[in-house]
This record gives sequence, structure tokens and C-alpha cells, in this order.
Amino acid sequence: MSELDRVIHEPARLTILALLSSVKEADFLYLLRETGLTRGNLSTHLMRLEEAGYVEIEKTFRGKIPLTLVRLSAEGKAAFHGYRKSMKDLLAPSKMRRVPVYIPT
Amino acid sequence: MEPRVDIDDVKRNAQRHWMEDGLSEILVGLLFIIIGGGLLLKLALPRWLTLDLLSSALTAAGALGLSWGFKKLKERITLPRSGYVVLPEPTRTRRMLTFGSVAVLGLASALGLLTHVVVVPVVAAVFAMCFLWGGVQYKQTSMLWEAFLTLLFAVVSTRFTSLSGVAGVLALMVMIGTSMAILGAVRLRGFLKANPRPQETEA
Repeated sequence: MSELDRVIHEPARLTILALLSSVKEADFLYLLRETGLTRGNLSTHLMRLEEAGYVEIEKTFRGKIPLTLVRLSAEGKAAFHGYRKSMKDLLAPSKMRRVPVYIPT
Repeated sequence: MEPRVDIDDVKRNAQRHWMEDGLSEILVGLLFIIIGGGLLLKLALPRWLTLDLLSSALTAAGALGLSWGFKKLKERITLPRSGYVVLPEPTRTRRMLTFGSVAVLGLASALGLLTHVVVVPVVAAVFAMCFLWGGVQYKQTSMLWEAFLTLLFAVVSTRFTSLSGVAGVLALMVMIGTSMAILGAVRLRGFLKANPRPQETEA
């Protein structure tokens, strides 16, 4: 059985990566609304993903308003697709092991 | 072991987010009105080159102005309330498919093959199918309403008006556009109520 990426396997981080995989880039507010996490929690998960090299975070301004942009890195894309593939492989019916069960009569 | 995250549903959120404020519905609706109405006007006017050029230029300017206004409204209304998102550019396959369909339609139209096919019920059915697909795919109730209204307009148009062929289809476009713009405006009102600007929330 291939090892699952523990960084991605955490539900909150998986949700963040799934959201980012369907957009080019998104800001902190969008991720906050869509994930339902608290600001602190989201920041922590984003930091963890940035440390793993899966997301790129850019702090910029739109007019006078600060904007934190987050996008999936190439490494993040590969890791996310790899994770999905291993989950699919893991859950595929042909890969399910048939365990003989003894039923006493 | 499997985290309870529906990845496919989460991935569809970006498209839902793009539509939740109703602005895109208003934009498409107004585009339908401008293009359908402009072409209807062109059919009604005498066939002078100057008038033809003028109405085409006005239609194109209206469409361009609308998409510019749409971007500005998105920046002012949606982004401060529900966040900033950039959708990915369409894939090469999708671009090729769009280009291919436009090319086929253009060729068929140039060869005069469309005059027999362009009938209100067929066009209405195509539109209704598109709305139905969008409504189910992105869980948008308003798109299901659009599908229903499109079929209703087609029935009204064929049974109670004398419009048929290209003129009938253009009139149908105007009707669909009007209903889309209205449904979009209702949705925008709901969005603004549910999502006050951040500083308004803090105050």
C-alpha cells in the first residue's frame, strides 16, 4: 500500500487544496468563507502547506486594501493529484482484500 | 481513514462562488437582450449599409461596455464581500471545442443550412438543456427556473405570436435575457443582504 501524504490527508488542508486546485488564485477571505475555518486556524494550515511547498502566498494590495493571495504551486498540484490517485487506488474494489470469515454454525 | 471531504463538490465551489452574486446572470441576460434586440432591429430596419454598420457597431459597443462594467462591479461588490477568485483559463480541448462549434455554425449559416433548423422549439430545447445541465451541475435553482421559463417562452412565442424562424429565435433570446436579468437582480439583492461589506459588519 502506498503511503498517504499526511500533510494533505488532514481534512481542512485537503479542502484548501481542493479549493485551490479549481482556481488560478484566491484570496484569504474566499478560503475563509469556503472552508468555514477560523482566521487563526486557516493561517496555521496555510503556513503548514507553504512549509511543505504546496502553496504560494503573496501579500499585496488592491488599492489601499491588503490582499493575501494564495495559489497552488506546481509541487502542490502534483502532490494533490498523487494523493487523489492513491486514495482512488486504495478504495478501488479490485484492490479490496477479501478476508475469509469463519461463521460458526 | 478517508477524510470526509467531497473533493469534487469542493472543486465546483469556485464556479458556484462566481455565480452566487447574480452578476453573471445579469450580464448574460443583458448580452442576450442587446444581441437579440440589436439583430431584431436590424431585421426590421430597411437594408441600408450605414444602418447595418451602425447597429452592428452599437451592438458590439454594448457588449464590450457590459463586460467592462461587469469586471468593475465584481471588484466593487463581490470581492470585498465574498473574496477574490481568479478562475483558471479554459483548457486547450475546451477552446478547440468552442472554436470548432463556432466554425461549424458559421459555415452552416453561410451555406444557408441553418434556415431550416433555426426554429424556436429546437433553439429553446437547446437552451433549456444547457440551463438544466448548469442547474444540476452547480446546484443553481435559478438555472432550473431559466430552463422552465425558456420552454414556457417557446410555447407562448409559437402559439400566440406570428414570430417564426430567425425573428422568432431573436425574440426568444430577448425574452430569455430579460428573465435572466430579473432573476440575477433578485439574486444580487439577496447576496447584498446576506453579505454586508466587512467594515459594515465590524461597525
